[in-house]
Amino acid sequence: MANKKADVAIVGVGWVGGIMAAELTKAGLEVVGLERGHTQHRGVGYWDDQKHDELRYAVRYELFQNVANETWTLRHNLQENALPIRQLGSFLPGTGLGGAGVHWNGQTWRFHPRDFTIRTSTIERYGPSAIPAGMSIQDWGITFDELEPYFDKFEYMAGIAGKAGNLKGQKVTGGNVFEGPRSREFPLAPPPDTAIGAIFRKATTELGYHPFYAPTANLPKTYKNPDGVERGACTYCGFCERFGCEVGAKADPTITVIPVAKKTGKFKIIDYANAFAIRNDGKNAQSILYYDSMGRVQEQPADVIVLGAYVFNNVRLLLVSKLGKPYDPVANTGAVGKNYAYQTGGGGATVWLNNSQYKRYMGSGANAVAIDDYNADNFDHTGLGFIGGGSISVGQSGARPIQSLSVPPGVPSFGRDWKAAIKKYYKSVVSVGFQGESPSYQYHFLDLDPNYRDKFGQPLIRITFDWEPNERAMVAYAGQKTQQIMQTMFPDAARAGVGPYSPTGPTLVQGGPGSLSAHYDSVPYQSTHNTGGTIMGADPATSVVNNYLQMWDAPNVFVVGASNFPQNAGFNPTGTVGALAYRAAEGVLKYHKNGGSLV
Amino acid sequence: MSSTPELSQNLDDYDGRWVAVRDGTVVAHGDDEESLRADPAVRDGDLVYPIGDPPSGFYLINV
Repeated sequence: MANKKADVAIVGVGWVGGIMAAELTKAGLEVVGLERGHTQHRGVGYWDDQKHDELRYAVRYELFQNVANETWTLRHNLQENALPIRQLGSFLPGTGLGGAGVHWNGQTWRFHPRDFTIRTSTIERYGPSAIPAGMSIQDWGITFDELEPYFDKFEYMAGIAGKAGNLKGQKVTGGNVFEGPRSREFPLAPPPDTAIGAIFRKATTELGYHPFYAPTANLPKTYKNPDGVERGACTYCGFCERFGCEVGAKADPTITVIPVAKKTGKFKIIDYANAFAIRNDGKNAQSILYYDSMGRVQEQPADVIVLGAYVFNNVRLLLVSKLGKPYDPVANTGAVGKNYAYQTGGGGATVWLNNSQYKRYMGSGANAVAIDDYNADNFDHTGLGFIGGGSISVGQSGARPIQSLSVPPGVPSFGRDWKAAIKKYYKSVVSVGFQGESPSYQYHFLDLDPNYRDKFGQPLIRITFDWEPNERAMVAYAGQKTQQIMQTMFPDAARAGVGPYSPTGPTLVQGGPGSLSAHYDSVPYQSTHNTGGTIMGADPATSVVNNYLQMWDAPNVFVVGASNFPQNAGFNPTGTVGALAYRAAEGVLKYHKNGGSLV
Repeated sequence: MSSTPELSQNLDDYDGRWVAVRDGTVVAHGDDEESLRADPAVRDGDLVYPIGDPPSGFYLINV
């Protein structure tokens, strides 16, 4: 039997679902949110007795998708047989109320103006030959300036701390001078640099770069947002990523937008609801079909359907429901599943200090000083052999006792020498990190696996992805820059040679170009910034949704999230996801009033 | 160092080494960037990069 029809039904109640529920219920609409997990975060204080349990949350993945129920298959190219990912590793999609917005770090960036026009901008500056064969980067169908009001809205809702580097076109020293123009300053000033952040700032300034404090959703002081939600300041406990915040200092949907939606009395959350299909006639959707907590099929009808789940689930729901045209990489037709992308790591530098300590166990997830000089197209790529770049930063996000025991290469992984190295370096390892772009390619895509199914019998998403020469060259270049920064940060380092670590050996300095593994490896954790598959654009032939995130092929279906990114930028995605959610909410209200295609 | 026509195109075979790639094809490989770029098989414009887990970022310093 079907549930009562809602004005809007949303699949997934994370940042996207929470923001849209708040905006739509405030406007008077009745909204139902379907969440596959449970209501795990009941507000500030809920985590008090269990919050810092690293084994439970970080090692055993309490807040993440259970891959025994539902996973993905992976192959590197069309010739390989895809196999299931049996354990979480490379990425960690969240589950439960609040989704990934509960366990994120709080790094809140705006993508660059060039990121939204990447194909046009690249061709204008370097010519069409600069885009490698097979790379399928495309413009977003929306500009930075058009998205700016929605970025602003997200930042003021979440209480982002930072310093503007571009206010209405005026460059501001001390902020990120490469960013697009902001209409106003951040709602909060950034906290002071950490000791290691100050060293990074000094070194990068000496090198002629433009350091700034990275925008953070970890409050440096109490903050009351425009909805009247008040949150307390960060205690720098160092347990952000993979954990909920027990003091509510980290912006999180469960303590910001979801309570606002619930307060209206118009938002109903159904947990343990695993959506598996959208009933539709090919032009409009009628309802969401889902399995309830007892495994029974239920139906939620609505005038408007919003898919606000994680990247893979948004794509899978469309493919299973036969909504939109599936992407065919060989014929290069269709768009659902197209342009899957990720985040490119490597290229960082790490130092183990022999005689200095920085008490890195204190910190927060977005506690970092960064430079943007080698991100996007902020530097001249002529003759470099690649396009794109990434952000470079030194962060201090804490040092948990199980997974943060970094020792120099060559140290045994157990035994007396390992223990001695842990004791020596626990407080004194410092990394300069690089987070690079992930361009899209014709043969990087998502489709339904023909062989493997989840516990409900639905086909798994099959990922086809690998590292490409452009990113290998980018990472090699970035590694040279991070090495240069590290050597400037610690000029007293003596280049005594290159070789394996020895506790009694000479001081060693080794560094240089970064690199990527021979093939993408799903085992080690790298990033949870998966993107694409329901990409936005200006052309229905090459995108799934328009710039209101409304499906071209079904105007009462909105698909929202990082699955809209036509490729991924050199930043964390949440700020841009938040902006798109506010944009989509506006689109739903317009559609609910007038109907039809909004573009 | 090698630049024979029979070069493997499987990057797994170059773990820990540098490769030069032209139009998606490995045309040479070497122990390090400097020696590889000196290989006559490598032309200006070839992409040259290392394969494998990042070798960079190993510092132990007395400060």
